[in-house]
Amino acid sequence: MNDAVIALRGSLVASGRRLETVASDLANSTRTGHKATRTAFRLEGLEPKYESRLDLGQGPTHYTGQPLDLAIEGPGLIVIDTPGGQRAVRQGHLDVDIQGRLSLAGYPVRGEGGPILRGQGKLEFGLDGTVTADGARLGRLRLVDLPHDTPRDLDGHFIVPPEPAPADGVVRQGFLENTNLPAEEAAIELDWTQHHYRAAARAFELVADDVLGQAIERLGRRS
Amino acid sequence: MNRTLWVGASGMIAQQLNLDTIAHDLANVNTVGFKRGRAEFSELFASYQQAPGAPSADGNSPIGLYVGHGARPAAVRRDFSQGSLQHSGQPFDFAIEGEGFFAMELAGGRLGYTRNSSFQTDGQGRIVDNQGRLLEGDFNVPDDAEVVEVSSDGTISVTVDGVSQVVGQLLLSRFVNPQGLESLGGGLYGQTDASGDAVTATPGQEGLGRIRHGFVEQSNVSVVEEMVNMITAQRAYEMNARAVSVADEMLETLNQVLQ
Repeated sequence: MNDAVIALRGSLVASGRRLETVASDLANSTRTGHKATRTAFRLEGLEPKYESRLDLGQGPTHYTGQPLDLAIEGPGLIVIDTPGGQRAVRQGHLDVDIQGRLSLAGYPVRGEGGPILRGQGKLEFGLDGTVTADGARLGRLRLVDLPHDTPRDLDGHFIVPPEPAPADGVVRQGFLENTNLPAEEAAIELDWTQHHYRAAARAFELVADDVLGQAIERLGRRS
Repeated sequence: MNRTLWVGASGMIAQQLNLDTIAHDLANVNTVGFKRGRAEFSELFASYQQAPGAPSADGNSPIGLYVGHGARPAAVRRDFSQGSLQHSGQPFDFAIEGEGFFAMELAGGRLGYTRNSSFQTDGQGRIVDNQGRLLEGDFNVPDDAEVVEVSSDGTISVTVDGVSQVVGQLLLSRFVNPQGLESLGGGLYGQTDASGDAVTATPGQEGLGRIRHGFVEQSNVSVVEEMVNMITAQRAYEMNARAVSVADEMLETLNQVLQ
């Protein structure tokens, strides 16, 4: 195949992937604590290869006033116990499960000393994740700091490695974190992807028409 | 490429549910004891096109290629926080200040739990809600009661011919996980395996709230907050629709080129 055709094919495919990524971030734009995926292109041989990288940066928080809503400011993910092992999540809307444990996304939250029982009384979370009810200490949330390339499971939860680094993020009770993808960026990304795709498609058209067309014509004349 | 259409559609479906929930809350802004809902979402099954550390042409790829498949509605969480109390002066209005539900007898013997706090008597000395459902408990309110008094711990006393007597005791129920309650409509909630068993006691005990006689509890819907949520949902819907139309135009471009 013609070099230009190979390069443009890669360009079109990468552009499609980029659109998928921004569409997925948009679909999750009102999901608590959603983290955007940043995209990049890398040249591999003739073709641009598409790469994605999770942006674990801070999203803006908003006040809800609910005692079981938590936002983390700074680095840190809350650890939960799933049947498949420990997972880490950023969305902080807690529940109390039937056994009276604090839970998140349907799984018990992992405190520093195991599950945290809700107990009775006014629930308060300290900035360092200490949980108290009417002043009595119930436990402390375990926050972990994970690198952005930590693999995720099918639910999108981060798979906690054997010895994760502790995180120094601050826990804010009564707040939730929004997505860290600003709407402007998403809109520009959409537009830019579309233009990029059009440009690549147009270039492909020119290559196909002019270069290959001429070649075919010349070959035809010769015979 | 086609996936973008589905990813965008998943976002639009999620926002539709978000808007439905907000509309329902706004419709019930004046419903006594109504508790607002909040739609929550989770990420749809995401897959790795290429795992981090996978071999590539020049060594190992330092980062993976993670592609999400959109969002899906995960739950509508009921917000059981306190609604504001409004003075009504009615003798059988008992608002709960704090945690707890009144238990109502439903057809079939099941109990329905409610925060509706507006009651009346049914002529047989029993206390019923405006649909005629019986309030669980032992009450005997005489027809000729002149003054009805309800203390904060739920003791109901009436004055007949200048003589005061106790005619019943209100009980409240609470649950380990009220989020797990099943919505039965009409402001009633049913116990489920997820909510745990009801803990029933007199008001003020076991972490239960107290009774405010002559008050009704307003819905806990905040109109301003719902308006902001509605704008967010609408714009998010538009952005997702835009992603779908961009995907459509890209396919169109492709078809034109490959004619």
